[in-house]
Amino acid sequence: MPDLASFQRDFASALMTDGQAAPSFRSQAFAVYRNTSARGVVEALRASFPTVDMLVGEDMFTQVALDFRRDQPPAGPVLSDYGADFAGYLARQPWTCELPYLADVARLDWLWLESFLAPDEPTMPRELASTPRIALHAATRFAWLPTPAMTIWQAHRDPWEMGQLDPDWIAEGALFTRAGGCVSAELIDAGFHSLLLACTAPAPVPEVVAAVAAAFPQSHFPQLLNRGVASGALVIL
Amino acid sequence: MLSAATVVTAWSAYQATRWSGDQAGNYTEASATRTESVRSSTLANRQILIENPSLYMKLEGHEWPESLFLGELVKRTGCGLLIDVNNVFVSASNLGFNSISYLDALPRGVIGEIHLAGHSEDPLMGRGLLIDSHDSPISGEVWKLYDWLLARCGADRPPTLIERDNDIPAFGVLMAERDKAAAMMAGQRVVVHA
Repeated sequence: MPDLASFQRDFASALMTDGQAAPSFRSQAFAVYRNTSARGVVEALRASFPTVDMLVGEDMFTQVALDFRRDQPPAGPVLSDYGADFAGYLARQPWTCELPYLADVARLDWLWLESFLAPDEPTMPRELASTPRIALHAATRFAWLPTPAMTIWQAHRDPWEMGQLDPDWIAEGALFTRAGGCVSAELIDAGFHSLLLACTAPAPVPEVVAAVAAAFPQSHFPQLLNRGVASGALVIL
Repeated sequence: MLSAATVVTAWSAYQATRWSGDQAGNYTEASATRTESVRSSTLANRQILIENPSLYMKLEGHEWPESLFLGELVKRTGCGLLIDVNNVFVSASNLGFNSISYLDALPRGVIGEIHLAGHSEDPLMGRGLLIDSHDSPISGEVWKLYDWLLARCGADRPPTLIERDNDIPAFGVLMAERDKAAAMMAGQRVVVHA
């Protein structure tokens, strides 16, 4: 009998290999452990990437998730953390060239999840510093995507939109914010995206103004800032 | 062991493995000590319940039977137990031990919750390999064990949860199972059809 640690290592590796493992792990009984482990991972990914599941269908998603599990087994026991590179993995698969928006949609599913699970903002006295800085809210997530993935994502998340889905093939910005327990998703333009980008690290107002003006000279900064704060994406420190 | 689905992490944290909560443990002095130390370092001041898992194959290297191991954990850590009656039945059937002897070896007065669920037979092995699938009604044998366990608990009857995750039936069917469990908890004898 090996010691517990090496036994557990063998057990874990036998869960990941189909029938290649040591004889004691080749039984039908062991298959129950293997199936349960695989199913747990597949269903966790399905729960984290519901829009990808809708786009490719249940059977295809199961197969892709099993392939991903072989490629990148979970690194920890918390399955809501699993799948950080699922979008990147999808982008690297040759078959996704037929669905060029799929990896971006996966990225949006992940950003939604990150926003949903982000810690609350610390409650602090709203006393502004002498040189106020603008920062992202802890639950703010945003992205600029080369495909109309946000329009596609929103249409699938809101079934009332589905019938009207006919996106222009343009790049899109996406913003996720959270008020209370509820994540809001909105389509954003490049100007607003440049503001969020400028606030990735908390920055003094003049710096943010300069960054946005350099990227989008035509933009109306007070309006953008107002929108950022009103949506809950930005906080003034 | 599979998905010890412990209510908390005391048992699983030290095996914080890369296979999503499934577990290969053994019931030894070393395991008990490690579990004890994890518990005291991470969950101090909170009582936790540890659940018995479903077992599918005999693993070597145990020093204690599972029920005595659980009793040892209770003694050392002050944890309570969550007894999944279906898991007891599935493990007993798969590994060939007696369910009643198992339940009777548990310490008294420490069960904080009971779980009931349905199981299914492996497509290849049939009754030789039962799976804790949560996809069917609670079996007659499990109802009988539940009734026996309630009697052993005496007046101090822990709350019961029925687990059903797959092939969910009509709401009325679920409620009938709930009513049956509630009647048994209330001490009314129910005719059990196996």
